[in-house]
Amino acid sequence: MNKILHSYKTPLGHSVQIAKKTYGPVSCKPKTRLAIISGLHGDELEGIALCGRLVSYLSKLEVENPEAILGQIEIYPTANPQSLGSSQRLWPMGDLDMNRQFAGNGKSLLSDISQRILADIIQNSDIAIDIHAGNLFLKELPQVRIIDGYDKKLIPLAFQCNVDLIWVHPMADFFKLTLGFNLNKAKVRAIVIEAGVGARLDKEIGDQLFFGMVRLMRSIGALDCEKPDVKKKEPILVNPDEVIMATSKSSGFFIPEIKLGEWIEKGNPIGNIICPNNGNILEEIKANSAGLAFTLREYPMTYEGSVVARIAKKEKLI
Amino acid sequence: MIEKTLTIQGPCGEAGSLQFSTWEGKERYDSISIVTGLQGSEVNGAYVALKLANFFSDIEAGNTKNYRLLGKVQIIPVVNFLAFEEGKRNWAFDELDLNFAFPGNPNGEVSEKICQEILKITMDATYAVVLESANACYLDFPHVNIWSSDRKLKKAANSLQLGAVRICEESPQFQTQLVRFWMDREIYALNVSFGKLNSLNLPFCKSVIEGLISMTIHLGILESFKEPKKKTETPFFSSGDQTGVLANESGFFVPEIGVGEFIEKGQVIGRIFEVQTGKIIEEALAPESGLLLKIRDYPTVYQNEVLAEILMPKKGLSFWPFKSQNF
Repeated sequence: MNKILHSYKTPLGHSVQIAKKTYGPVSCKPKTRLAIISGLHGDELEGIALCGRLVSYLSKLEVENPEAILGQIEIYPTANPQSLGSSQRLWPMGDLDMNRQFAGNGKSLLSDISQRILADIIQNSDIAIDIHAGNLFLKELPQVRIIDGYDKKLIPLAFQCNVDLIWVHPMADFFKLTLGFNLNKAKVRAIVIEAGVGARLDKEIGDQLFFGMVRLMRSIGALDCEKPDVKKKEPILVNPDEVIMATSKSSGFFIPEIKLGEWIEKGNPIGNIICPNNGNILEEIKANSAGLAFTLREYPMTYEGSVVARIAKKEKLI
Repeated sequence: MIEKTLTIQGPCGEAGSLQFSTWEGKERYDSISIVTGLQGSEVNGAYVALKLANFFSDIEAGNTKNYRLLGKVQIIPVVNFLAFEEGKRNWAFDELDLNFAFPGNPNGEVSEKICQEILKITMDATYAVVLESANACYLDFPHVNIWSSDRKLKKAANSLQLGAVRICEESPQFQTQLVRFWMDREIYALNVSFGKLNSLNLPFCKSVIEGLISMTIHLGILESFKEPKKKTETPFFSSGDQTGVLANESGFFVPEIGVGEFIEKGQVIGRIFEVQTGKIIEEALAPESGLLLKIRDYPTVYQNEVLAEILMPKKGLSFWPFKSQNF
């Protein structure tokens, strides 16, 4: 079932709709209620593509094997169509970040849309997945991010998502403005997935997350379908003090020496900063800890202090 | 004295640096930091800063006999210097709104470094003022925002002699902002909002310049030998005394009145036209009588966007120092 959550007109009279797709059991009460949302930032395409794929999969299942759907599954593929249309992270009119509007008062179009989405998920779901990509600079290995303090109730869900890593990170003030925080505050178990890089799609990441979402739906009793025929990733659990940031001390172009997702030893080269004018190496950036490189700079230009990689200080699982 | 603090190296050399000026009297009095340009297109703040810099330099050089500097004045005219040079609100490289990046991080990205540096160089201030404008879609009548009912702070806010003082509640958004971190450091912190980004409003700038000079005199940082101006009473409003007017339709908004006017309940604030036909599709009316603090100043409007904000006088409205008066 397609439901229009909110509809508004542009100044030239075009209609813009924020829609969700709902799937549920045919003859019984839903065993569980799940929401999957993406596109809060208009240039984070990985989640939007994933939601589209899930809609296609569930629509087919609804026709061919409706008994397999045991839970209520609600998919919000494009929470911010205005930004998607402009291919921008921010809401174009006023450069507002939608994921900073969830503690607002609803007194602007974007704040109103955000409050409606938040209220709808709180009313209709027990579990929510908010999917993001990295920004334009940093590519992220598929990962779940959990605010320290919410880890106990969220980690079991995160383990089902077929991600490479679960990062329990410290609380910061701005999280209070986000969808994920406000859902958890309202007792909806919400996890935030980060995967890929802004404005790009990666087929491998798309596949990995798709199987992760199907696996999650099975594990919470929302779906009774065949297990995906792929080996599940065993994510590593990373605590706040186990993430090492590698940053540049120079401005220039970052040329990586490693690949995203590579296990590296302490002292291994991560990459070089080169001078764009003469090609000289300005800085060799080395790993100051062994571990998994789960974030890697995709956009070459750096300033002093730019993050080039994040390393999870962990032993490689055999 | 102009000082360069944080310098940012770009890929092709120096990209820019954070600069500030300080004027210090010979006595040991309070100090004030005036900070503006958190947004690169904060041209009103930059104008106020440059005029004040000129004013205090003249006093320091002995070019005027009307004033004597007793305390310390620090002015940071452009915080987001990289965005300022691009003529943009946020620095195009990271598009970060600096007011969401406090307290910053000395080892972090450029924007985090800038925020941390601002806190570092203003940490000795007794009073601190951040000058801001409404975003490019709105126009703000000059007013003061404070987040505490402290008597000394209210007196300072009143001394600015602007159109209104709002005593605001600490929203979640406030938690990341510069004023909050000043307050954490026990600095008397105020926000002055006036005009709009991208557009210089000289009459509003003049009010703010005069207000800041009046405030430095009130705080004893500056001594004036001129005949004192008669002080007006500034109305104080709490967060419950404000109402917003929202657009019911999307279209092209044309305001009928200007900020700073007192409007009556039911008065037309503006009209929304259908672009293709010129037909009026909505007449926005004032839901309450009061002072028009903010108005939409960019015609393209979406449904449910704010068209105007009105500060409503309560019966027995508080004027400093707590006299009662009705409009």
